[in-house]
Amino acid sequence: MKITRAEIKKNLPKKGFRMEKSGHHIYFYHEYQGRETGAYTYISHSSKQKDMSGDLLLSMRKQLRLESTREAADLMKCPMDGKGFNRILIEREAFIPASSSKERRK
Amino acid sequence: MTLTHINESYELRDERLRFMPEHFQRGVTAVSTASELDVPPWSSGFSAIRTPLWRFSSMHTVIISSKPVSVRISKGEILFFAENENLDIYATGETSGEAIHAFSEHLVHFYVHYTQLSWDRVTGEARRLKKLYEDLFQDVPA
Repeated sequence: MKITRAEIKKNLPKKGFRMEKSGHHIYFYHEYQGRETGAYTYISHSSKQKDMSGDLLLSMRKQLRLESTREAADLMKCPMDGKGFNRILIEREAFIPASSSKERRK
Repeated sequence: MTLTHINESYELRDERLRFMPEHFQRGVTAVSTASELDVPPWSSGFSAIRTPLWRFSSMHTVIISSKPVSVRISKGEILFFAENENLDIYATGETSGEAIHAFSEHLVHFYVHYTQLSWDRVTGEARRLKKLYEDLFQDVPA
């Protein structure tokens, strides 16, 4: 299973991630309704690192709070859209949507 | 190899095992030796170690922790991992040293990131992480 840097740079911003360049890396922070949720990943600035696979993909899977590299690949390639990723994070309690948290307080 | 050689190898192994400390851990990389001299699984099967770190630096910033940060170092198929689940940092490197260096750089990055981010810009796990970075770390002159 291989994912290219180009695919990551192209697809993650479409799925609710904010891209931020810092030092040697490009970070992608996941946001929901303008707030960071804690899910993130990064790639090296250097174009030497063209593909993500094996160990790197495993590390990215953990950063994204996903349970399998298949899920991570689905997010970074195409099948999983932004809503699907939000649903997974909510199900796994990485964050609670604003409306639900107000309801819970009541 | 004759039977005498094999017996000698076993005797040598037993002699070495007598000097093996009770809580011996071989460390990050497995050192392969001849199978007849190999130590038993209880002393060689450790695939990960944890090391405490207090001081983290990147090019321009140095931060210290009020509590030791336990960094789990393990070997993947090719790369080494340096990780702390509580801080949500998963770094990689071609050697264990490179992985720890990358871990340190990411920790400094997230410290700066979360301390600069306002509370109304974080939710869920990001909120927990912001509190953790603000409570546990502080920057010091490089």
